Amino acid sequence: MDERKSETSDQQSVVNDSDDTSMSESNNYGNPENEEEELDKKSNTQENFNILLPRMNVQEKIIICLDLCADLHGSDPFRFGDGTKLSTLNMLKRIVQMFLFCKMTIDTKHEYALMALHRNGASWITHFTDTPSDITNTMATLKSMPQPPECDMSCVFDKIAEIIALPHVSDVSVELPSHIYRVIMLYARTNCRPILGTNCGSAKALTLSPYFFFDLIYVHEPLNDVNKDTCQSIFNDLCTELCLPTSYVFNVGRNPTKLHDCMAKLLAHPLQRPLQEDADYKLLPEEHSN
Amino acid sequence: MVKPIKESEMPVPSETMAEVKHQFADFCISLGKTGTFNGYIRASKLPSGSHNQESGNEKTERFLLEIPYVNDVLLWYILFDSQEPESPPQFIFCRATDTKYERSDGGFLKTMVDSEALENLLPSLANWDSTNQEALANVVEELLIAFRKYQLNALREMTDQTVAFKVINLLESQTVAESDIELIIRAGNEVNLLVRLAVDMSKVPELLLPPLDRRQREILASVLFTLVGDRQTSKLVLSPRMQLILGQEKDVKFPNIQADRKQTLPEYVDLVRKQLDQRIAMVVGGVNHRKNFLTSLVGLMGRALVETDTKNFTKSTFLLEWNNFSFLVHCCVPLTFPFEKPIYIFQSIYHTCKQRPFASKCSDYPYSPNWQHFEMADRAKTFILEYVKTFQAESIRAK
Repeated sequence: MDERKSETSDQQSVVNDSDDTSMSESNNYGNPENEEEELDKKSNTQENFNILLPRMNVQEKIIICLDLCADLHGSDPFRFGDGTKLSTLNMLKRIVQMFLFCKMTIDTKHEYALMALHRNGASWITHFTDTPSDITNTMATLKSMPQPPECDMSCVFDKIAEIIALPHVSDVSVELPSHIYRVIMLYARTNCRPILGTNCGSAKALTLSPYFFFDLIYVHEPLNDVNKDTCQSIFNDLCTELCLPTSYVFNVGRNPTKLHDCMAKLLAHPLQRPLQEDADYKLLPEEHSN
Repeated sequence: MVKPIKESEMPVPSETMAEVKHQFADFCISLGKTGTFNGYIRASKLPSGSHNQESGNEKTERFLLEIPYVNDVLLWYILFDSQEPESPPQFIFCRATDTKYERSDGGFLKTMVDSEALENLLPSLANWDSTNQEALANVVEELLIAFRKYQLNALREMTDQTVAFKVINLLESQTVAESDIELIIRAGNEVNLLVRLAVDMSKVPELLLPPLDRRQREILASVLFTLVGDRQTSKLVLSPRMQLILGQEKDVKFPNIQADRKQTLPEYVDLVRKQLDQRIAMVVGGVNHRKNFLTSLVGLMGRALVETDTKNFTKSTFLLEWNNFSFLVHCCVPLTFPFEKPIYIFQSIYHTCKQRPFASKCSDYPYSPNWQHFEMADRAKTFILEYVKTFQAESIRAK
């Protein structure tokens, strides 16, 4: 992506601006999805609560789960058109920051918390706050850690279950909960298997609630013959073990634009957004764009 | 902290005293029945005095009532002699704006020295019954009524009767009742008059009005007049909940009373009342308008919906993609819709400006309040399509 040269004089003029121009540059090159191969997504056939819930924008308590053992700089960073490189972790921090400030613009009532996924499991870093800068200031201090061979995901649910209190209502399709919880898991390890034991009680308890949502972005190295099978199997595990029918699930290689797009799609309120397969963001139908 | 009283010193069971004091929380709510004062009465227990010069007693239980009154706060100290629990409390009347050397309401006390006056104005105090749980509440209520009458009388006794004439004129015009007004006389013969306005909120949807704190007294709307001699100025005072519906006081833009004598108080009060009713009708109608418009918009672009305000119907946000460029659009619908047009805020998901996502507000598009909702929604989509290219260029250039 960074190798290509701009094709028209219009595009040429924006090349030398801030590093953000790489976004628009790649946009001008056509469908970003074509540049990278995507993994196959396994569909979940469980019963769907989504239909029954009132489509009101109640307060969201969003738990961002940041992977500190993200693939390190050496193994292929995110590259921008002007040559800048960002490690995976720094790229994740950047999209989290954009996410938080955009979500706050949408509605100031939502709250955010930060958890970190690290060598020894998961920890709470910042508890719920409605001020994004509380999160971003702390997030800036978090450093990369080396990647273990496996990742025990049950501790994520254990830690979450310790802190949160899921709302209960008597009639789910009519009464409004005071708030809902959503986990946004940013898992960024190409060679580390996620493991969730079948007996994880906290995971079962949490996922049974209609007010608990789980979204995932899996960030991996660009796919090639060597790593494709591993990545696909990790992605399968993540989807089947962690995700729910209501989940939004994405996988991204090293395309910055695509990562921004995926995170932006996660701005959508779980009670109001369509199912992922039904979402359609195009302003114009395909044949008319341009 | 209450000092424990030795049983031998107290002929009355100590529970009764305690009950009288512990009624305070509920008592303050019941106080709300009288007066026009707006807001929260605070009742606090002060540390027991060991030497209280005012009452000359050794031990006193002291309470402080802070009562918002017109644009001041009354500070009324209530003193109980803990050695004579049956005897009625004493009162000291101050105001928050009193200086150390000047106390404004000493005169109020004097009006009650006459025992006949006391019997008439404050029967609960004249016949103090320390076993009655509501005794204190009743006394304070009677005091407030007496206080307001006292101010009104003081007004009538002013040498310059211009202001008195205006106020009496207001009362006689039947525009408002005596219980709807509250006045206070300040230094320099300045009179502040608060007139409570009745507002019909029955049609306002519950969703728009958050519930009121149980302890709080709310005057939805009132006018504060400042009258000095010939001069008159007015200010609209709205409760916080009212401001949620009508907008902040500074934005509401009602005309102020005309400075010279051209507009009388009753004329002005009528005018404000009419305008309030109109605005509320607009708000009531507005909810449905906004709801219908946003429903049309979501019907058109629902598969790209990020979030929509399902409480007040003031905003919908969409994530749209054009030419592989994705962006957010917030459609902000003002409370005065459809008289005022919606504003569209485009927001970048890639670029920042001063560390925040770059955003650009647009309201420069053709609009008519007479269009149907679905036509408005269609045109909104067209407008977004037309503007996105400009927005993309702007967001790239942002620093």
